[in-house]
Amino acid sequence: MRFDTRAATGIALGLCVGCGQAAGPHFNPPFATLFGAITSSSVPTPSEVRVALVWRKRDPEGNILRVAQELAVRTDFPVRFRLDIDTLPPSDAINIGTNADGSMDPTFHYATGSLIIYEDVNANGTLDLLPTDAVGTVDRVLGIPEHLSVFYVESSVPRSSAGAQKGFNLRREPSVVDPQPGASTCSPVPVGVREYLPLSSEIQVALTADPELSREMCARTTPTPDAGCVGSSCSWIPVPPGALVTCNGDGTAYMYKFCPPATLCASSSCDYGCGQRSPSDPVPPDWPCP
Amino acid sequence: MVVGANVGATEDEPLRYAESDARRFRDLLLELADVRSDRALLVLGGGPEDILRALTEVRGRAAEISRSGRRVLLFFYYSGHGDDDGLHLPRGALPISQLRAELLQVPADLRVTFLDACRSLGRPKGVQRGAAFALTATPDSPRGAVELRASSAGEAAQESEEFAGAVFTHFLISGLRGGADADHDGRVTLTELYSYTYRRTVLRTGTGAVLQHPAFAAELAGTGEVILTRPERASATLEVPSGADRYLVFSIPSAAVVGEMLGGETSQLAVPPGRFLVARRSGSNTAVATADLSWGGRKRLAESDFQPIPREELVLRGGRLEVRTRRIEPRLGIEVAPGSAQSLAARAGMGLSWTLGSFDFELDVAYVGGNANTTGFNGSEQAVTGGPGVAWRTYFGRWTVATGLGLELRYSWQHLLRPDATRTADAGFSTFENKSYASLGPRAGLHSALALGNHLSLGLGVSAAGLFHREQASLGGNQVVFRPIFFATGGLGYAF
Repeated sequence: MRFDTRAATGIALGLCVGCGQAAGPHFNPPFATLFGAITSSSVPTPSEVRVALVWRKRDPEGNILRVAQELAVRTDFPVRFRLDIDTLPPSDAINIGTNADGSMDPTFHYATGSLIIYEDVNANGTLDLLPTDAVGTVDRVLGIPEHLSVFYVESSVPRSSAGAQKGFNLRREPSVVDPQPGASTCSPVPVGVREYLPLSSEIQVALTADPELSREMCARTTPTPDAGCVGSSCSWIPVPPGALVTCNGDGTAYMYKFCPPATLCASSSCDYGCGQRSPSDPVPPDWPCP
Repeated sequence: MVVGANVGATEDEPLRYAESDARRFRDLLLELADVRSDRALLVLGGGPEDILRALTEVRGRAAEISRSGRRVLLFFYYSGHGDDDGLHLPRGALPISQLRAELLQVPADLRVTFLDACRSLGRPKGVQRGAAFALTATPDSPRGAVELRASSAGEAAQESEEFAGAVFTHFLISGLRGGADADHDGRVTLTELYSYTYRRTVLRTGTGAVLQHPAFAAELAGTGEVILTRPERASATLEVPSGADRYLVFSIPSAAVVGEMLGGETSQLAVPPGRFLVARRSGSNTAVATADLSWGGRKRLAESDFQPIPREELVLRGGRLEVRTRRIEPRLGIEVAPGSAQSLAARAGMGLSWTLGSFDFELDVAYVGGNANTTGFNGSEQAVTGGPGVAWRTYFGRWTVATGLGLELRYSWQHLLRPDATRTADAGFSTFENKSYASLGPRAGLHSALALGNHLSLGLGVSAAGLFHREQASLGGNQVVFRPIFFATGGLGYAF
């Protein structure tokens, strides 16, 4: 067989070029990749659709602070998409864990965030978070996956978070329902349990552009303390005008839910209050239940 | 006044070097005889009317100088065809008698005329560039006229391929450079020059078919010697071992013949600053040596400086012989790779080259190292790189410039670190990435070398290469990419 020098040289050079691979100037392999799909859309898909991971941190006063982290979006968005998390959560978003007795656990560092699909209205490439006194939004939130959060652990995983792993986790959050009249709390009540999902799980999101979703862009939210009380010894709280009142069957307990038309980020969205009386007690004036 | 004419009468075969010889003689006057450029007239390829017009101008300028009270010394040099009666010029002949009459009209104290005219069908001839010595006449020199001719009546002036010029002019120049300084007093007198030129020309042409006897005529009044040059004042002097050997000195890199020495009679030659190749012939043996007098001074070549070479090679290549054909050059420099993870790096390596004629065959080996930064990592990248190349050499004075093409082969290692390693490790991720890859591509460069001596040279080079390699894309996947790199290096070369 005749030896073809040119062919051999070409093969050698090809093998040489194919040997190994370099990290280019944009080399940044993601820490995690999330997969998702748009299940429905009630709004036209804008051209500037981006995805941000908004981390929530609760400060000692109970305020919720948010920090946004942009995610790289791949593939055929908006029907199906892949999200690359190629940076760690900002240090500002890291929470210190607490023990069961409420004390600090300095060995447990974590962050919790939500995926936000938004329209980058001002085309600045980032989700513009809103100040507390904001009356309008800059960008527009199109959709947020329901009951789903990204849970990040930057330490050993405590037993309370069984199922989670170091790094990034996908977590299904329990649903939250309004409290029932006569219940032991006046706060919304979680239904179900937290569940850690494989990172390869498909994240489903509906694009509604519901204005209520815009509250997820608030850089800081001050929660309203629970109102009302439980038990016969406490006085009941007058129901504010315009509140939605729910009474029990015999009219001895009620729960109201009041969502005042406040500024966007001034407080949490709704106030809850409760009242209860003994069936043998006379019906107080202005008692909201028949 | 310097006249050169390659073309003579219609029956004369055109010469090759007459005009270039004239140009070099003019340069010699400018460099060594304190002749201002506006007073050195050069007539190339002109007819009789051009020469007569120039002589008229010479006459006017000489009169101007004479009126100022200064001594006037006139040199007239002619290289071209001619015969006993006149100069053969492109558009007719200029009778010798008329030329002499015109020269007598020039109000000069002393007229020195050199006529290197080929009477019969001739071969190319030339005059070598002069050295840095003083071409002077002493204040009390005799007055009158002197005429040196390349041949006697009825003889042809011959030219030599070996000298790339006329035999007469070759020995005329060699004599003025000091070869004619018989009494070794550092001065070349008219008598010494003629004696030397006559003897050497006869000896040389005696080996050929036609003997050539230079002729001398003088009409002088006054006392003392006519001193033409003072080689002792030359800024550079080359000495050879005494003996019966014959030395031919070539300029490097032009390969022009500078002069000739006979170790037995004159062992030193005044030369202009520069680099020289000295070829020695001793019987059937030939040897060469190089001398670097770039900064002037005196260089005495020793027996050990010469290395034998085949006579055929010396004949074939003459002054373009490379005595030291191999060179090693350690290099340091920087490398720029725009658009890559390693945008700036240090480069240290070595070039090994082998010279063959006007070509350099080179192997370049280097280490490249520096920081590497990507969107998500900081770290370092190192590489072993280099490859073969070939370059074409050209010369600019003391500089040798090589323009080359080659192949760049490289193997690189990247060690990349996450910027927040502690947090990254706490989150259970790897804090680093190690990668290695090969790349290759074409390379082009420009390398210049300044000779610092017989062995050493200062090298400066700039190169560009385009490297192909596989690269991991930012969002996964691999692709072959092209990255241009540019590097500049400096080094100290050693030839051996």
